[in-house]
Amino acid sequence: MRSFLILAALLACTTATALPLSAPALGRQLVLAQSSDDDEDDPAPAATTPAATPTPAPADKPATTTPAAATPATSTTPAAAAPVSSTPASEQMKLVSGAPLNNPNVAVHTVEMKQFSDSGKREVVLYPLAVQINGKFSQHVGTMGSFLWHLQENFALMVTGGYNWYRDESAFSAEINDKLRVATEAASALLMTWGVLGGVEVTPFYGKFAFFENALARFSVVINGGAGVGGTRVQLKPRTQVGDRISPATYGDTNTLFMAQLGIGFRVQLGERFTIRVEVRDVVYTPSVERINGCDFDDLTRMETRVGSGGTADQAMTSASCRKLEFVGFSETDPTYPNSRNISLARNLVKNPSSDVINNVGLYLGASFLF
Amino acid sequence: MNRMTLKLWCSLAALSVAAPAFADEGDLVEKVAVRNRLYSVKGRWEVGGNFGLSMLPTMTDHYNLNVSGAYNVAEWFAAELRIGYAITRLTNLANDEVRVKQQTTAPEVSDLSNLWQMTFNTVVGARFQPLYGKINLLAELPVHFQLYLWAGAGLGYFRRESAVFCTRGTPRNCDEWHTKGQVGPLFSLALGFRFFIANHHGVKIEIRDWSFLDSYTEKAKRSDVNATNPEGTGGTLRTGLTNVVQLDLGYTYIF
Repeated sequence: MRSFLILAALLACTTATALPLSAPALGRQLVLAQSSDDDEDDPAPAATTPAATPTPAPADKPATTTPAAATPATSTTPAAAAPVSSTPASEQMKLVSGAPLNNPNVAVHTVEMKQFSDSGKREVVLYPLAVQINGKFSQHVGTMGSFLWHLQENFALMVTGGYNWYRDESAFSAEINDKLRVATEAASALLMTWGVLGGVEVTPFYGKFAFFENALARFSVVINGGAGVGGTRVQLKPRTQVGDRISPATYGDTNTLFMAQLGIGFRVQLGERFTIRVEVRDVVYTPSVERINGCDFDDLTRMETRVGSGGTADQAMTSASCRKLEFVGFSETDPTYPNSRNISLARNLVKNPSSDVINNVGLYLGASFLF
Repeated sequence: MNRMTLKLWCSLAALSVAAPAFADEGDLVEKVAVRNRLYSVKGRWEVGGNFGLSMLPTMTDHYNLNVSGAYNVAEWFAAELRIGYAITRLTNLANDEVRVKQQTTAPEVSDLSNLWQMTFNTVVGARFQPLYGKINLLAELPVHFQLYLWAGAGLGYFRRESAVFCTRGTPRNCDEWHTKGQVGPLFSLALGFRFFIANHHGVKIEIRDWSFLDSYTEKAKRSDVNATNPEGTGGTLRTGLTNVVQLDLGYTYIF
C-alpha cells in the first residue's frame, strides 16, 4: 500500500509543479531573468520599456510575424521596441523558422513544437530488464514487452506483458525464516511468474533538455495503466544447506490472478523511430492461496495419507484439477529430494488460506521502435 | 555490497544512461530554446528544506527532516551541506510479526541485520547537474528543471534496538529490548529533479539513499543472555551496509 501511495505521490508531485504557475506570474519572473537571447514566451512589459513603446507581438502568435513586421521603419514593429538591444535591428528582424527569434521582444513558443509526431504510429517496446524495487518478501527480475497504438498524439492503446525469469523469496524473508523461524504468509510471499495486461498510455507532458551546453534531447512523460491476468507460484521448501551442498527451494503453482497496473516514466526520443524508456510500474494483485498445483486442502490430505501408508500421491483420489504428478518422483533441481515431501508443506499453506494485496513495483528499462 | 545497494546503483546507472541519448541537434530554434537557460544558477547561493519518507521500510522506518545550504560553482556543479534529524521507529512488521512470532528454541541465537536507525545526520556532497530542461505541461506552461546526481558523505548518530536480545522478559514477551548507540560514517547518493518556480524559488523531488554501517551478533549462546550480558557469549559480530531509500521532497531558495 505504501508503494502505491508513493507512486501516487510521484504522480501528484509531477502535476503539482504546474499549479503555482499561472501565466501572468510566469511572465513577470521571466522579465527579471531573461536576457536578450532567451527564448521565453513573454513580451517585455511596460516596466522595462518606455511608455510610448508599442506593444510587441502576442506571446502565442509567433507565426503572425509577417513581412510587414520585418519593416524596421514602421514604428509599431517589434524592432522599434528594442532600441537598447545589442543585436542589430536587421538581425532582430531576421526570420528563423518563420519567427524573429533574435528579437528580445517577440515571444516564441519553441517547446511546443514536436519534432516527431506519434499520432497514428505503432510502437513496439522491449524491456530487457524489469527489476522489482520494493521486494519485502519476494524478489522479481524479468523481461517485459509492450505494443502501443497511438490513436492520438497523447493517447495510445497498450498491450503489455512478460515473464519473470528470476523470482524468489527476498533476503529479508530468508533471514527471518532462517534465524527466527518466522514464516511469511503464503499470500504475502507469492511470486509472479508471468503477466499479460491491456490498457492505455497517455503522454500529457513533453519537453527537452540540454546536456551541459551542447546536445539536446527530447522526451515525454508517459503515464500508463491497465488490467489483465498473471500466473503465480509459491515457495514450498526454502533453500537449505545439506552438508556441503545446497538444496534449492521448491515451488508450487497457485492461481492465475487478476492484476492491475499503473506506471509512470520517461521516453527519450532518439531520432524519428527509436526511443529509450525508463519507467516505474506498480502491478497490483490480491492473491488468496487456496490451491497449490490445483490441489485443495482435501486433495492434499488424501495424498498425504496415501503416501504415509506406503503408496504414491498419484494413487490418491483427488479432484480433477489436482495435478498429482507434481508430487511424485524427485525434484528436478535436487535429485535427492522426493516431491512427496512437498505435500505436507503445501497442505500447511492451504490449511489456513491467506490473502493479501501485493504491490509489485518495478523499474522497467527498455527501448522502442515506432513505425 | 548487498542486494539493495546493487538495485539502487543499477537504477541510478540506468537513469543516467538515458542522458547521452541525444538526437541530432535541430535547427536554430531548437538550440536556442533550451540552451539559453532562463534560470541561471552559476555563482549563486541557496538554502532549502527537505522531507524524506522511507520508500521500502522493512524493519525500520525513517522520516528525515533536513535543512540544506549550497553554492553553485557552475551551472552544472554545486557543493551542498545537509543537516538533519530523522524520526525513526521499528515498523509494525518488526514489532507485531517478527518479534512476537519468533520461535526461540535453538541454543544459539542470532540477531537480525539492518536494525540500526539513523537519527542526527549531516553530509557534505557534490551535486552534478548537467541536464537543464524544459517541459510543457498540458501544452501550455513551460516548466524549467534540472536533473541532478548527488553524492556525499558525513557523520550520523545511530541507535539500534534488537529484535532478538531481550534484557528483561522473554523475546516473545519482552519488557526491555537491548539497545545501543554510536556515531558513525554516513554516505548518501541521490537522483532528483529541481523544478524552477521563479527566479528565486525551486522545488525538488529526489530518490535518496542513505548508507551506513551495519553490525549485529550471530550465534550467541542463548543461555548466557541476561541483563548484564545482553548479547550472550560466544557470538560473532557480523558487519554489512544498511541502505535507507527515501523519497525526498524539498524547497530551495536561490539568492
